[in-house]
Amino acid sequence: MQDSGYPVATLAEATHRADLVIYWACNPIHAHPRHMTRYPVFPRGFFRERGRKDRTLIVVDPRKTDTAKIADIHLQIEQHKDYELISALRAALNGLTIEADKVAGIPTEVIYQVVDTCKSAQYGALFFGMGITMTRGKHRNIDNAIRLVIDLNRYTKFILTPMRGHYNVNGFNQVASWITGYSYAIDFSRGYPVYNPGETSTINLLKRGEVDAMLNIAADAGAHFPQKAIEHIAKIPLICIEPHKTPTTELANIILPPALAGIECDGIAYRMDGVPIELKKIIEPPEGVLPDREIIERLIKKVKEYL
Amino acid sequence: MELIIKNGIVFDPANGIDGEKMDICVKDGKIVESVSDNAKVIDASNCVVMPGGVDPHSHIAGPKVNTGRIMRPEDSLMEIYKKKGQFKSGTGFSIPSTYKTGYQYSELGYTFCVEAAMPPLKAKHVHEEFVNTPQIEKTAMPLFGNNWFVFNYIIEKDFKALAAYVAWVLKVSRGYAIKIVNPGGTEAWGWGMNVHSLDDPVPGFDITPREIIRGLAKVNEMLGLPHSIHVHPNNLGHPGNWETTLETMDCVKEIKPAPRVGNRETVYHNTHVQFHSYGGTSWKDFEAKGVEIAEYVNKNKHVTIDVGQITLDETTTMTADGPMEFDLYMTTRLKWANCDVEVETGSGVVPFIYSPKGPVYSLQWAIGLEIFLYTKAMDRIMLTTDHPNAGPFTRYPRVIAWLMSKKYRDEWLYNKVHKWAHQRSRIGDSDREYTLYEIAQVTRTNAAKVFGLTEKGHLGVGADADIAIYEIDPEEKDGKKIEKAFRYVKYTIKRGEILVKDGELVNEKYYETWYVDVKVGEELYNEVLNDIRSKWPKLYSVSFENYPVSDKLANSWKVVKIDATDIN
Repeated sequence: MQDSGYPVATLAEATHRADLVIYWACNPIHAHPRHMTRYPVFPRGFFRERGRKDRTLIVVDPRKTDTAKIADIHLQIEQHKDYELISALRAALNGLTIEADKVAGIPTEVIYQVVDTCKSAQYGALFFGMGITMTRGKHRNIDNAIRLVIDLNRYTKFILTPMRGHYNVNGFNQVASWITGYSYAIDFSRGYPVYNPGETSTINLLKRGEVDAMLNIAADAGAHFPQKAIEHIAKIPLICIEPHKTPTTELANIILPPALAGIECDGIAYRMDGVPIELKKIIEPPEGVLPDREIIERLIKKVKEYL
Repeated sequence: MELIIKNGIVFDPANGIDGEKMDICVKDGKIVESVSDNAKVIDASNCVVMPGGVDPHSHIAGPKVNTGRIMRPEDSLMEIYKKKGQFKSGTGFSIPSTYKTGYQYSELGYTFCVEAAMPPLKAKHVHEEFVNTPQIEKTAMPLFGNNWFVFNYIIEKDFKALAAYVAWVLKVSRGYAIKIVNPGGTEAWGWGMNVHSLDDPVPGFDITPREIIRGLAKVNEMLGLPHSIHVHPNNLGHPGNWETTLETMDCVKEIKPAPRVGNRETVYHNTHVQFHSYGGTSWKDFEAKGVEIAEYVNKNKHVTIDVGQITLDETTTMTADGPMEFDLYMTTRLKWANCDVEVETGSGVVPFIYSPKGPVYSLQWAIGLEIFLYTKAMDRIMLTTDHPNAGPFTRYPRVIAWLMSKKYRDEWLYNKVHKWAHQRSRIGDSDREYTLYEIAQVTRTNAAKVFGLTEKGHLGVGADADIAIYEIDPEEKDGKKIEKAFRYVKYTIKRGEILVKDGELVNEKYYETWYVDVKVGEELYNEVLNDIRSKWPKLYSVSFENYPVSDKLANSWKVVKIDATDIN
C-alpha cells in the first residue's frame, strides 16, 4: 500500500455492481463465512438483480477448497507462485506475449482468457487473503496485485479488498495513523513517532532482544509470532489486557481481563473496508471488570504519577 | 476571566473597522464593551489584531485524510513536531496527524475549520478524528451529489421528501452543509466512467448534474441552512473546464437565498475555483481563465468562491471526485488510493508534486493568483489551498505574502516559476496589492458570513473572543516578513484564553463540533424515514440503527437548531 496505493470500495459496492468476483488465496467459506452470502457473491444488488447468476466467480488457490469448488473458474496455482501469475496477468493485459506454455501451473491460454474476462467485466472485485500476503514474496505480491488492479482500471472498473481478520486490527491502524501519521511499528523513544518496519516493528524488536517489558493488548503474540520472538517474551515481564485464555496469557506475569466490547461495554470497530461500526453494551460486565479504555487510562494516570 | 488587548491596530471588516488603533475587551469568552481594572492586559502595540481565522474548506479529518497518512509515510518525515510538555508529538507536512493539525491552525491564528467532505457512512471516522483535534472548532460537510436517495427524490421531483432526507442525514451524520462533488461523475466512476457536462446523463439513473445541483440548491433554501450549497463542479482539473464552471454557477442564478440562521446573501459556493478556471483543449494549449471567472463573480451576487491556491509544494491530493484522481494518477504513476462508498459517494487519494519548474503547475499557480487579483467583489472570495490538494494550510502565510507584495509575487513570477505563468496569464499586468483589511476579509470575515457563523469572524460586542494578533507593520512589503508574521502569531486567543504566545503553543484546549439539526414537519419526516428504512436493507451493508453518529463522538457538540416545520 505504501508503494502502490489502495484502490478499494465499501462492501456493498460489490453487491450492487460486481459482475466479476475474484477470491485470491483466501477461503471465505471457512475463514469469513458470511462474506459471500452477505456481500459480493450471492445477494441481489441494485444493478445485479439476479445475484449469483449475474456474476462470474474466480478463485485462485493451490488447493481445491470449498470456495474453489463453487467457483466458475478455479485457477489452481502452484504454491508460492502468486507473484509470477500476477505478473503474467499484467503482461497479458498490457499486450505482451507470454512465451511459456504455463505460468505458475496455469496454462497460458487460460491466463489470456482470464484477462479477457476481467477486461470485459463491468465491475471487478478482487478479495485477497493471507495465502498471498504471508507466502513467498509477502507484501510484494500485494504490491503487484495493486498494480494489476490499477492497470485494469484503464479498461473497466476494478477494486480490491484485503480479507482482514482478527476483528478490529483496522481500527488500530486507523487510530495510530491519525494520532502519529503511521499505521503500525511506531517507535516513540525519540520523543516523536518513528516508523521503519523491520527495525521498529514488534517482532524485530523482540528478536533483537531490545525490549525489556511488554504490554500486550488483545493480540495473540504467543500463537502468531516466530519462536525467537516468543523466547524473548518469556524472558521479560509481560502484561496482558485480554479477556480470554490464550497462548500469550500463558506467558503473562499479569493479566488484566477487560470487559468485552460489543457485549459488556461499547466502542467502535473499523470493518475491513474502513466502515466504522458502533458497538453496543448489552449486559453489565462482571464486578470490577473494566473496559480496555478505562484500564489504559488508569495505567497512564499511574505512569504520570511516577514521572 | 477578563482580558483587554491594548493599542492594537484592528482590522474587523464585518464591523467596518479598517486599521483603527483601539482596545478590545474580553469577558467570559466573549467580546464585551468594557472590562474592570482587574483585567489581564495584553499589549498589542505595533501589532495587528483580527478575528480568529475561519477556514471554509480544508480536508483535515476522516477516511480519505487517514488513507493519505497511511499511504504516505514519506510525508510524515517532511515535518515533525516533537513532544513538548503537555503538547503531543505529531508528523506530516501535507497530511499532518490530528494534534499537529490543531496546533498548526492555532499557530496561524485560525480558530474554526470546515472539513470539506464527509461520506455519511463513514461520518463516525471523521468525528473520531475531530475528538483528537485540539485548538479549533470544527464542522464537516456531508456529501450529497452522488447519493442514490437524492437522485431518486429529484427524479420523482419530490423536493419536500428530499428536504426531509437532507435534514435527516445532516442530523444523523452530524454535518453542517450540503457538499456536492462532481455531481453524477462519482456515481459514474462506480463503472469507471465520468460525466463531462452539466447535461450528461448519469449512467444507471435518469438524471443530469444540472438537475442534481438545482435540486439540492432549491432544498438548501427550503431548509434555510446557514451555508449555501458547497459545490465542486464537474470537470475539475481539465483544460477547457471554465465554461462548465460558468454554466454551473449560472444554473442556480434565480434561486433566492433564504437562510434561517445567519445573514448569507448567496446561494452557491464554488470551492477551489482555481481548479475550475482552465482554458484550452489540452495541456499543450492550456491557458488561464481566472480573469473570466473573477469577472463573473464580480457581476453575479449569488456566488461566493474560495480559491484553492496552488503553493508549488509536494503534497497529497484527495477528493470525493474519484474519476479525477484516477486521471491524475495516470499523469504521475506514483500511487493511487480509491474508496467508493456504497449508495453515497467515492473518493481518491494521489500524492502530487507541484514543481515550480513545471509549465502547467506554474500556470495553475498563476491562475489562482489571477482570481485573487481580478476579483473586486471582496466580500465573496475566500483564501484556501483546498488543503492539502493545492498545498497545505500552513502555506496560507505565503499566499498572503504573494497577495500583499507585488515585489514578492514578481520575484516568484519571473525568477522561480516556469515562464508559462507570465506568458499565459495576466498576473504580471496587475499591480494590485491586498490591504490587511482585504486579507482579513478573505481569511475570516467572508467565511464566517457565508457559513452563518454569527459569533465568529468579527470583533463586535457579543462575538466569541476568538482573536489573532500578528506582529506586523500594516505597510510591510517584505514578503518574507509578511510570511513569518502570519505563520507564527504573536497571540492566538480563543474564547478568551491564550492558546499561542509569541508563536509558541501555551495551552491545549478542545472545542465543539458543530452540526445542523433541522426540524421539518413531523408527518413528512416520518413518511420519508419509513421510505428510507424500507429501502435500507437492500442498499447498505450496515444496519439502519448503526448509521447515526452517537452523542459520544465529540468533545462537545454545538447544535444549530432550525425550525423548518413549515415544510410538511
